[in-house]
Amino acid sequence: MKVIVAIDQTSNRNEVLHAVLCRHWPKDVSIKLLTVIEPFPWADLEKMQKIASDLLESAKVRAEEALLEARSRIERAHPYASVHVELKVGDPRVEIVDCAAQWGADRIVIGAHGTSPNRLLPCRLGPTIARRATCSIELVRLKDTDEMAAEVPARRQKVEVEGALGI
Amino acid sequence: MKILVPVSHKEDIKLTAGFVANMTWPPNSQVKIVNVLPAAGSDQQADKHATAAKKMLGDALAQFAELLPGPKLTTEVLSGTPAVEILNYARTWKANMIVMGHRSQKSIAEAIAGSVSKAVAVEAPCSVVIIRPPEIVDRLSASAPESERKV
Repeated sequence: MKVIVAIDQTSNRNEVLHAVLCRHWPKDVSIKLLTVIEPFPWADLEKMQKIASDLLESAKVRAEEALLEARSRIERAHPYASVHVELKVGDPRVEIVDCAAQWGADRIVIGAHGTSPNRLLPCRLGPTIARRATCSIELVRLKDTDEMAAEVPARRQKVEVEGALGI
Repeated sequence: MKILVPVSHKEDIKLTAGFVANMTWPPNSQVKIVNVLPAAGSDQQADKHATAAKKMLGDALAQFAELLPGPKLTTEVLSGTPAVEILNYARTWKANMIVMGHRSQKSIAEAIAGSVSKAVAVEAPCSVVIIRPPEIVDRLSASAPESERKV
């Protein structure tokens, strides 16, 4: 089974990774962690090329760190899985779908509400990919702040109990 | 965890049952299999649709129960516009995930069914898994020319 996990460099990627970590994958699963960095919209302007190039390189470094960190988390949770990373530059709406088609992916896992961070106007990448993809797709709904805030007391209580038990 | 599984065709049952069975669910998970009845022109037609829906849900329950001994399995028949009813039910039942099959668009009926999964993917209040059957994946991947991949 081949699965593409599309993540960005924001904290939203944790929700997507959580969905992957909690799954019971088949033993032959191959997971490709994919990040697509969109070039800055004003990169073609002569005076902005140096700045755009520097920013792109900086974005690539951050993205690679995030991908490698995600890979190690998945490898710890699923030691039998084959996990590799890929970083692309381009339009995420095209690159993710093309990558899935060329690699022969069986499923794409992506956040439902993620947006391309360099885009001037937000676009709902997950549903766009769902419309265009030729394979199965899982849109992971990202928890909103209210839900995450509601979970904090439960987690804190769990930590306190574990602390009292000496765990 | 609450998993909502809308089915409208026997192929949906096979696709979704396979996916749900291959995952490990937390304790006390619930799976709700639903079918949305189309609008009927007469009472006779409505009864015919309702009977077909009950049979389909019965078959679905049997397949799911065979593959998925853990979670609690229930079924329900809804009526109305499929995408609207599925989304409303997901909100009121507080589903954590919707799992849907997406079939090929060989016929008008199947094109409409495909549009339901797309509408749900866009508007769902929770995570959505849209499963395409393997033969469709192979055919679409092989035949999609480069020019059609442009945005």
